[in-house]
Amino acid sequence: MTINPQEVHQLRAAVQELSILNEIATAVSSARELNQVVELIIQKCIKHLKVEQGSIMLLDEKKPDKPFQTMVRKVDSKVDVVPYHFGIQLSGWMLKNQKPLVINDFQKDQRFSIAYRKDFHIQSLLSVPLCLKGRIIRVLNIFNKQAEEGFTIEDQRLMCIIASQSAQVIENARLYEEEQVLLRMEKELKVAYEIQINLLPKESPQIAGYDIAGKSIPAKEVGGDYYDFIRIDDHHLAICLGDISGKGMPAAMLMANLQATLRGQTLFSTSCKDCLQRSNKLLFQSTDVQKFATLFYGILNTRKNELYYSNAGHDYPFLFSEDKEPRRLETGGIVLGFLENFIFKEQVIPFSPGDLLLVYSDGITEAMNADEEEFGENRLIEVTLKHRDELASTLIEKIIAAVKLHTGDAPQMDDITLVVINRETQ
Amino acid sequence: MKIIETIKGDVTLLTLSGKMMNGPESIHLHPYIKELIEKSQTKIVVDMGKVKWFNSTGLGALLASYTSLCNAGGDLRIARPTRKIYSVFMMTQLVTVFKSFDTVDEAIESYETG
Repeated sequence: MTINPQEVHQLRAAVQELSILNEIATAVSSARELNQVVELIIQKCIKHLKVEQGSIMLLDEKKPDKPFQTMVRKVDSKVDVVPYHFGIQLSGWMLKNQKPLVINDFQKDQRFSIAYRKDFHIQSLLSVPLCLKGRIIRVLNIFNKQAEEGFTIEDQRLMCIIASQSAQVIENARLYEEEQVLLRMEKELKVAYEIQINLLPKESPQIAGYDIAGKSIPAKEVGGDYYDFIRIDDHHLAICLGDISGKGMPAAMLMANLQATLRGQTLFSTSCKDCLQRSNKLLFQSTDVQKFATLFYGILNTRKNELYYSNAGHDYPFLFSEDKEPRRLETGGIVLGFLENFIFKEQVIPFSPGDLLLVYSDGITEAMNADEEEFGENRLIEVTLKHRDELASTLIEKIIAAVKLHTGDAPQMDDITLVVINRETQ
Repeated sequence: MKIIETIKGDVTLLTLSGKMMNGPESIHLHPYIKELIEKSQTKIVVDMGKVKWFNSTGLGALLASYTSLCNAGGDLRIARPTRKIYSVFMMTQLVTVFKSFDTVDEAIESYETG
């Protein structure tokens, strides 16, 4: 059997093509990062197609006026960089025509005449689109074929195969990078969660004659609700429960700010209204107009058994006394952070044996079921009355369980926070 | 949340409908108001009769709008607050800040009397 020289040439070319494709596949399979993958593909194209320069342009859908950005450009000689406007023209042509582009005499090509500059030494160009699910995601370019005849039909064919194989590999690398960013963010969110948990009281105050507990469950990893118990002296305990508008990280950062402010203010004064006035001013100065906080601030005098309080626009806490309707603690003023010089009011109420104070955030009462019906104050009062003789911590768990029973499978929409102070009967 | 704008003399009536709660949809009231201020429309009545849900996110949008309007020499007045909205105003004691009216006409006319 005789084989003619043309067939031998074709066979050799096919073997060489396969070996190039195999080399690219082997090289990129060991790379994981996007830049690494892109660089390897460009390097191999420059080497095997014997050109001076190569680049891959990334389509950026977020910038319609600048559809493509050059991702990586590998220069194999002293060729100048591709001018920006040429990149735009080229990408525009590619988006319109959706097919490979070969130019072997760049200076004579009318389509890109504007792009030609003396310092832009490009004689020939081969560009192919990288498509994913029928959509161009990138453009692979090589410039200045070293052989005199310029780019051949074989070069174009080989580049098209490389492009079709590379599209998914590059996409995978991009997705891998995105995944890494998300994983890093998730890690940071976990750290933020730990920080926030550590800002909340680690244990409830132990005061003879009182049973005190608190709990906060953020709707997201971090939240804008907060509660605190601050020992002022042997017989004064400050109780705070606040709700920063919004949720997630911005609310959590403001929550930390408010907590630090209040902790500082508590040491200055045992007046609830003074503390709220100063905290309000500080919060006003450090937040924008959309941000505010509601806050219940109380000081329990365990010697006189009295509760001083001031309520800055927070959901009215309930004081349950034996044989009486629950009393709403309404005295105070508007939400914190809205009017800089607002004058708050305060009230003192006796805390008798058997009295129970329930402070909560709107995540409890506004928790909705599938029919968009809120849990509401009535259910909250009902559950509290049913379990009021149990430990403060148990009562909190019962309320949370009742809220969860009400909302069913619906996700928790808002942060949930509760504080219960129970004066034991003697 | 949807906003429908109607001009009533020198008062701009914004009729809100839908949910004014968690989510970016409730936040666009403030940018809307800021655009009105640019056009010197600073006497605003917000009709809230068709607002289905309202919580602290919605309140934040109202507070921000109110502040921007006051700084521009204008005002934001509320018409037809629902029971829920009114209870939030009461609880947060912002009932002292927002002038609210039972009808849209009363809210608009209130600008004539000052």
